[in-house]
Amino acid sequence: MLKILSSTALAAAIGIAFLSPARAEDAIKIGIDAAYKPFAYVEANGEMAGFEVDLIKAVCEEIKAKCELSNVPWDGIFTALETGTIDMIGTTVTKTAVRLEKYDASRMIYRVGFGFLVLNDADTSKGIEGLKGQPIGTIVGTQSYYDYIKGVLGEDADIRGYDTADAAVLDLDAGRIAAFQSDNIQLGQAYISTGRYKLAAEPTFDPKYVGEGRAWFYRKGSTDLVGRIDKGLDAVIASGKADELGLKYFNTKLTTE
Amino acid sequence: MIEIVAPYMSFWLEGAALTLGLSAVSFPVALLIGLAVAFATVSPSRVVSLAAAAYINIFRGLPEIIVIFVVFYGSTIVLKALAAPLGITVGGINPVLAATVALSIQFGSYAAVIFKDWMAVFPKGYTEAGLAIGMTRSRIRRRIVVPLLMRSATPALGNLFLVMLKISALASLIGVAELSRTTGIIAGSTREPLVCYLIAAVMYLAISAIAGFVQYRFEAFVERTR
Repeated sequence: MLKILSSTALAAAIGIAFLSPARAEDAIKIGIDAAYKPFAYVEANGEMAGFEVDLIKAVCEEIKAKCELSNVPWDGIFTALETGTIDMIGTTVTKTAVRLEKYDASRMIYRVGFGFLVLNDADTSKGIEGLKGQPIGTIVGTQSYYDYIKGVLGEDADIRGYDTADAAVLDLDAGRIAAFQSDNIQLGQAYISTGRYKLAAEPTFDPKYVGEGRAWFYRKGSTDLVGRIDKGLDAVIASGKADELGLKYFNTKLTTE
Repeated sequence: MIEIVAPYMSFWLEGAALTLGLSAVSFPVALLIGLAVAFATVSPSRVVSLAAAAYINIFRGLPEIIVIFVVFYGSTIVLKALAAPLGITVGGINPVLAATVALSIQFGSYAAVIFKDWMAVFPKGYTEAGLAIGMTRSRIRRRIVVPLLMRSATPALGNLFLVMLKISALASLIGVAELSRTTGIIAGSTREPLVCYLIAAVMYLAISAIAGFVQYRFEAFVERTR
């Protein structure tokens, strides 16, 4: 038995050695959660696609860097960054003071507003005030959403966290939550466009809640990498390529100011 | 609705195959670990039996998700720390390998308890008979104890396999594109979550049915050889 165990251990060790070849220093490992159409998703053939994926490719091409994209689930994406499994989070993440304390970030890529999605037949005459005291769904672990909901609905707001927007909207359909809070781009593109939902009020763009817009995130001390990517981002935004991608995926130019 | 998700079928089946493959590889390793640990608990050496008891108590008590995270991220940190002084950069271990290791280690502890309990109820006469005809301890284990153990433990081990199939969904959190993760990706990419999760449920049931059938045939085979 010991023989079998030790040979298994040996096989595992060899496997590890083979599976982790020393990689060239210049390949930038980028993790992205491709489960959010149209930001990032997977085509029927298994290839990643979407706004963020195209933008990353455009930037890497611009700065002539070799980029390795991998599909990392949102739940583990910051752990993956901290442990060095990836060098950059390619999912665009809201810049907040708390996050900027722990991580480095790229320049602002675009700004989004926050809104509350409700069913089309819901009574929205009182706007956001009408949602007070009712259960509100949002994406679990997204601190800026929690702060916003507490800010407008009170500290004791009944917030339910979901892993994905789809799970939250399924519960909205089922009546378990009164509204689903998320960003206006996602809500507009994915749900309001179906004609079954609407916003409870105009989306908020107050920097107090939406922060400094969305950006890519890096480990602390990645100054060189941030500089290189930012240079590429500046060029891609200035050339109008970013707007082109915005029109392609969101039917709108993005607020990059 | 089906037309929207249908093009994803081959991507999806790859996920289902990975779910089945993860358990199909981890389970035999878990059984080997379980057997080794079960024998270690009855070892005359106090150090060995204490180590076996510690292994069982630690891994039976830890949530699977933590073991998976520690194996995957922990090994990356350790590898990086070891490689840094040598001046080489390592990419970290493959998530599928990490999940296989984590599942094998964790389920090894469950299997060990199943084997240990069955060993405890074996009549002493079996081993005494072996000794009487001059078999060595290790030969008694190989020829008598292990075959009898496998036979009596099959129903419990079949259950354990089904649990492993479902627990393996946690591997999705470290980026293994198994059935749960591919379903999540397809749901997010097609905006048809209900259909996607229904199809995934059918796939999980199909995999369990296959596993159940294999177990049934194995039990029937064991019954015939009695």
